[in-house]
Amino acid sequence: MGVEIIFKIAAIGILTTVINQILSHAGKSEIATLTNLAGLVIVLAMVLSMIGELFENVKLLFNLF
Amino acid sequence: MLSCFSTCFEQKGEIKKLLFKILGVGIVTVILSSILKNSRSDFSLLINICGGLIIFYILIDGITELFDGIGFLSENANISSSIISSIVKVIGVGYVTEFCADIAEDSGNKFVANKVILGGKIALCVMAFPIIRYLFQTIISLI
Repeated sequence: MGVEIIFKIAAIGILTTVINQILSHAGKSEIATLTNLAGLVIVLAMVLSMIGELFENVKLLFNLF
Repeated sequence: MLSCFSTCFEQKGEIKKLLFKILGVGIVTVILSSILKNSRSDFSLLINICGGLIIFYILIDGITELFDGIGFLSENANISSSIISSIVKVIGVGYVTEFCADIAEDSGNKFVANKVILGGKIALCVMAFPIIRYLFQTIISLI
C-alpha cells in the first residue's frame, strides 16, 4: 500500500483519455466508449478491493462487531 | 508508567515522519485529481478515494498506539473497559460513515450522503446506549 497506486490510477486515466480522443477522432466512437468502460472497470476493481480492506481494518482496529 | 512515557518520546520523530508522509500523499492526490478533473471526473473521484485510503493506512499504527495509551490510562483510573471499548467503537463507526458520506458528497450525490450520515447517527446512538445506561446507573446510585 503506497503512493504508487495513485500514480497508477492517474496513468490509466490519462491513457484512456488519450486512446478515447484518438479513437473518437478516427470515427470509432463505439470502441472509444468500450475503452473508457474498460479503464473504469480496471480502476474500480483496484479501488473496491482497497475499500473492502479498509473496512476490514477498521473493524479490527476499533473492535467492531 | 515510565516505560510508557519513554516510548512516547521515542515516537515523536516517527510521528513527524508520518505527518510529512501524509502531507505528501495529500498534495500528490490533489494535483493528480485536479489534472484529471476536466477530462475524466470519474477517475479524479477514484484518485481522491485512494488518497484517503492511503492516508488511513499510514495512520493505523498511530491510532493503535493511541488506543493502547487510552486503555492504559483508563485502567489506572478504574474506568470499566466496556465503556472505553464502546467509545472506541463509536469513533470507528463515525470514521467509516464520514468516509462514505464524503465520497458520496464529492461525487455530487448529496441525497445519498445525507442518508449515509443518518444511518451512521442511528448506529452511533444504538452503540452509545450502554454509556447512557451507565450514566443513569451512576446517577441512581448517587441518589
